[in-house]
Amino acid sequence: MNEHIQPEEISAYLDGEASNPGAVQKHLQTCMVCARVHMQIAKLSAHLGALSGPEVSHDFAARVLASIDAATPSGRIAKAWWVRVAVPLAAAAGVLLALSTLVPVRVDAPELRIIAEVPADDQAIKTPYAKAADTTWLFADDAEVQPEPVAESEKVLMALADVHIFDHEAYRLEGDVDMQSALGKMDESTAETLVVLLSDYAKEEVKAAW
Amino acid sequence: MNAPNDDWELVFRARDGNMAAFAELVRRYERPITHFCQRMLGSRQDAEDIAQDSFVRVFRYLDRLQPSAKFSTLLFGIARNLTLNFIRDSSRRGRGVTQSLTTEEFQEIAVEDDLLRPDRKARLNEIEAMIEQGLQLLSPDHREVLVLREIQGLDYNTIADIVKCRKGTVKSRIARAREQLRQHMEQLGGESL
Repeated sequence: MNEHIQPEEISAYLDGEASNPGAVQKHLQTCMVCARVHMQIAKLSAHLGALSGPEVSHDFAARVLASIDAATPSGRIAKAWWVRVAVPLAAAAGVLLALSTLVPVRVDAPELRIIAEVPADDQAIKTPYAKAADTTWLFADDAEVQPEPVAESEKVLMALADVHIFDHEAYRLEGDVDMQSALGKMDESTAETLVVLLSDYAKEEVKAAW
Repeated sequence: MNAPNDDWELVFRARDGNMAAFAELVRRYERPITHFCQRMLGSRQDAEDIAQDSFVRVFRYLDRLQPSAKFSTLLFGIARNLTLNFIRDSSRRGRGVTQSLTTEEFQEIAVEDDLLRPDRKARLNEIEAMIEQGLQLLSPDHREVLVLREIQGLDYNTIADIVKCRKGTVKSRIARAREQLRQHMEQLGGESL
């Protein structure tokens, strides 16, 4: 082949985008002029690829979130529903557990060890925060110490705190567990209390955040 | 549960109010987006501002984003539009962004590998500075495709999606940009390329 290859084709060949790479390769083996162009582009490409990138500020993400926060009408970022629910729940449970150590009486704990996926259309907990359909809840059956007697709501709170609700993602099981059936495995009063509790928290949090 | 690998899964979580998911998206792309903006604008501070604004825009559009393309393509597209707007506005104000790269900024982004021999390191720094300068002399149309190809490593189809033109146009612009940059290097004494 006597005619030189267009630089555009050599450039595309370098990028693996040539329309006929075989022909380009064959030509480069015999044409010193085109081979030199190819070598120069390859070197330039290597230098460009080696350009060091900027060190992004350590607070880059924080500044992005702050900008979003400032632009949010309510002046605060709407947190995930489970954070809005779990934080006050666990805080309350922590207080109750601390109090429980003052009354070291062992009682039967609620028999709960349930991992539940919350379907968005679950009628039992159809509240505004139920849209986070991938959130998992975990409850335990081995609360060691509880005050006696305790209200149903306090039982639930203690059970929640005892199994680290914040680590809920680490306890995810394969497959979905219907929340309705999960509630069915609890004793009736506990399940009812749980639904009421979460609904109440949701109402407060939703009013505040939305 | 493992961290989601799929960007769109994070987008959907962020859409449901999970700010941790959005923060993860920011962490994944803060460096490549800022790098792209810096090569486009030549200014580190302006680049970071534009990069941050890109993420804010993404968050604003969360509800409207559709997974018809890679998330990174959409993100680069937003960053690209913002950088072009910035360049246009700077030109109107009489501030040429191509002149905004300071000597200090050249030095900051220079090769920092202490293992290199001093003369070799100095030579690489010199070449890098020439390339930086040459990039800023390219038109935005040529600069963006070259940066997306050479620095971000994107293929022609993805670049075409980002800059909204045909693949053939990307091909010719990249070749043209390389040729202009090569000529610039030769003029500045970078004949050893």
